[in-house]
Amino acid sequence: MKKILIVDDIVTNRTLLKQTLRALGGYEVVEAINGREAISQYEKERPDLILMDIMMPDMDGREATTLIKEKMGNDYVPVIFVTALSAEDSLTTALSAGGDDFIGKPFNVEVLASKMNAHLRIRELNQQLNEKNDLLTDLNQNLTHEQELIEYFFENAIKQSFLDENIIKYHMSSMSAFNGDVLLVERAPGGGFYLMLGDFSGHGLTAAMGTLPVAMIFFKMVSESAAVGDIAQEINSQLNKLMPSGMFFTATILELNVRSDTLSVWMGGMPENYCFSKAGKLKNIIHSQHMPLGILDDNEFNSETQVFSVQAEDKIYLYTDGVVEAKNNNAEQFGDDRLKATLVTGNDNRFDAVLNELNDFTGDKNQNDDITLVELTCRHVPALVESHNMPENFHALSWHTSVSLSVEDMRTSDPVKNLTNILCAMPYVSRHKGVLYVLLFEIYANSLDHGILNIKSADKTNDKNFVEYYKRRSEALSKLEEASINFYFSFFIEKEQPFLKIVVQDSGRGYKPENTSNSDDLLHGRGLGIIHNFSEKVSYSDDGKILNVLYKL
Amino acid sequence: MEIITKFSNENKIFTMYIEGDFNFSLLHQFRKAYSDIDVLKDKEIIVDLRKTLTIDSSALGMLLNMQKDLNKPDNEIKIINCNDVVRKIFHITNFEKKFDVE
Repeated sequence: MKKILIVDDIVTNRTLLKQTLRALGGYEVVEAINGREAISQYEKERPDLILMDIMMPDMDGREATTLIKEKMGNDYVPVIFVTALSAEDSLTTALSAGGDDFIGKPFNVEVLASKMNAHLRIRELNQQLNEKNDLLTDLNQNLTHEQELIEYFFENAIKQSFLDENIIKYHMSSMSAFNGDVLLVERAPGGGFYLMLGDFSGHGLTAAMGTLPVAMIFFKMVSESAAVGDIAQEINSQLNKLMPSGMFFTATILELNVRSDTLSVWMGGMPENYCFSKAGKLKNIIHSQHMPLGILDDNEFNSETQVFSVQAEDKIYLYTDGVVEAKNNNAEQFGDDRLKATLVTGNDNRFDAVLNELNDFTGDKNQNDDITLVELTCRHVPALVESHNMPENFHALSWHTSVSLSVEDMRTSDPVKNLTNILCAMPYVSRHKGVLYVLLFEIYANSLDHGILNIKSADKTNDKNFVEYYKRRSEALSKLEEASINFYFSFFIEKEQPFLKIVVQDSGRGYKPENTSNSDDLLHGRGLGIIHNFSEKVSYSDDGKILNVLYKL
Repeated sequence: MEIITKFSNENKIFTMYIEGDFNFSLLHQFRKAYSDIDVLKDKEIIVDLRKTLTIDSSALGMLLNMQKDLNKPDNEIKIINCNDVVRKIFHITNFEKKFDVE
C-alpha cells in the first residue's frame, strides 16, 4: 500500500482526488489543507508521493515543495503538482520549485495513474539504491577499520627495526596499501648489526601477511646472536608450514660484525648485491646461492653462508626485483645492466642516482611491483648496553650468606651456575653475573681440583695430558666420599662503592698459589690468573687453606 | 650445550659454533669437532662464540691444544662474536697474542 499525501485548500478538490485514488486501488491517502500543514504531514506521515496544489493561502505549493525537498536528503519522494495553469508555466514552476512533474486540472485519471506509477517506480529504485549505498558504506567502513587494525599489526611487527640513517639509506615503495617487500635491521647484542631484505611472491595483503612471522623470527634470533644461515633456516621452516605451496619469500640476510670487517651473507633468490669501496671501486658482486625461503623441506635446506671481507665506509647496495623489472611506457624493463651502470657511474651519490634514473625511466607508468632499494654503509655499531640504574635514593642493606657444597653438589656438572643465580637475586650483584660466574667457577675449580682432589695443574701441558687430567679428575670425583667447599659471601658498601667479599675454605688441603707469577706461560695457572684479574684483592690465610677475594661491584 | 661445525665459502672456511658454557664438559665434543686434521690443515679456522655464555680456563686450554694440533701459527685462528665477559677473559689471559680475537 503506497501512502499518498494530497495537499489542496479546497475540500472538493481533495475529495475528488481521494475518490479517484480509492477507485484505482492500492493507495492510502493522507491530507493537508495548505503548504504549512503539508510540511508537518510530510514529517509525520512519511508519504511515498505528494500531490500538491499550487495556489494556497498560508504557504503556497512551490514554497512547501522546496522546503519538503530540503528535508528529504537522500530519500526521493516525488512531488507532482496538480495545477490549472498552462502547461509551459506549470512545468517551469514545478521544476524550479524542486517538484518532479505536474498534471493539469481537470486531470485525466489514466494520465494521473501512469504518472504516479512512473514516479513511484523511480522512488522504489531510489530506495534500493540507498539501501545498497548504506550497505556499501558499512562494508567500506568495516574494511577501512580492518585495514587500520592490520596496519597496526604490521607497524608493530617491524617498528623494532634499527633504521639508523648513518648505516641505512632506503627507499620502499609498495604498489598497494600493503607491502610484500620486507626490510628489517637490528643491532646485534654484542655490536654490529643484521639486515634482512626480502620479497614475498605476489603483492598486497597476501604477500604482506608473511611479514609477521618473518619479523618475529628475525628479531628473536638476532637477540640471540644467531648466525645468518640459522635465521634463514628457521624462517624457511616456519614459512614452509604456513604458506600455501607456490608462494615463497626471496631474501638476503646479512650480518656485519662488530669490527665492521666481515660480512656474512645468506641469499636465496634475490638479485645481486653490489659492494663498493670508499674510493668508489666495485669490489664485489654478491650472487644468490640458494632457493627462496618457504619452498624446501628442513632436510633439503642449505644454510651455507658466504663470508666477505669489507672495510669501514664500504657501501653495499641491495634491492628487490621490482627495481630491475620496473617498466617504462614501451614495456621495456629497467634491467640489471642499467642498474649496474648507474651504480658504477653514480660516484658519491649512487643511491639518489639510481632512484632518479628509475624515476626518469618509468615516467608516468604505473608501478607494477613493490620496489625497495637499500644502501648500507659499513660502520661500527656498538654493543647494546643494558641499563642497570638503581632507583633514586635506593639504600642497599649489607648482608652475609654462606653456601656449603657437598660431594653430591660437586658431582653435578655445574653447581657454580646455581650459586651465581642465588647471588644475582641481590641488588648491585645482578649486573656482574657474567664475570661473577667465571670468577666463582675458577675459584671452585681450583678448590676442587687442587684442594680436594689434589691434582697438579702442571699436568695440563699437552693435549694428551690435558685429556688425561680431566679423566683422572672425574675418576677422583666419583671416588670422593666426604668433602665440602664452603663459600662465605658478604656484601657491603664503602664510600658509596659496593663490594662483595668472598671467602672460600675447602675440607681438603686448600691451595697455595704455585706459579702465578709465570703468567707468560699460557697453559699454567690460567685459572688463578683469571681470579687475580677480576678481583680487587686476593689473599690467603690459614697457611693457604682459606682464599679471600674482594670483588668490586 | 653443543658444538656445531660448518664449512663456508666453497669449503675454504671452517667455523665452529660453541653453545652455552664453554668448559671442560665440552672437552670431548670439542676435540672431536676438529679431529679431521688432514682436511682442516689448509682451511681458515673460525671459532664463533656468538652463542657462548661463559668460558673457563679449561676452555682456554682446549683452544691452545687445538692450535697445536692443527699446527696453526699464532694469530691465524679467528675467535669471533665474543660477549663482553668472554672478551675480557681473552684479554686478561693474553690470548690476543695467540688468537685473532675479534
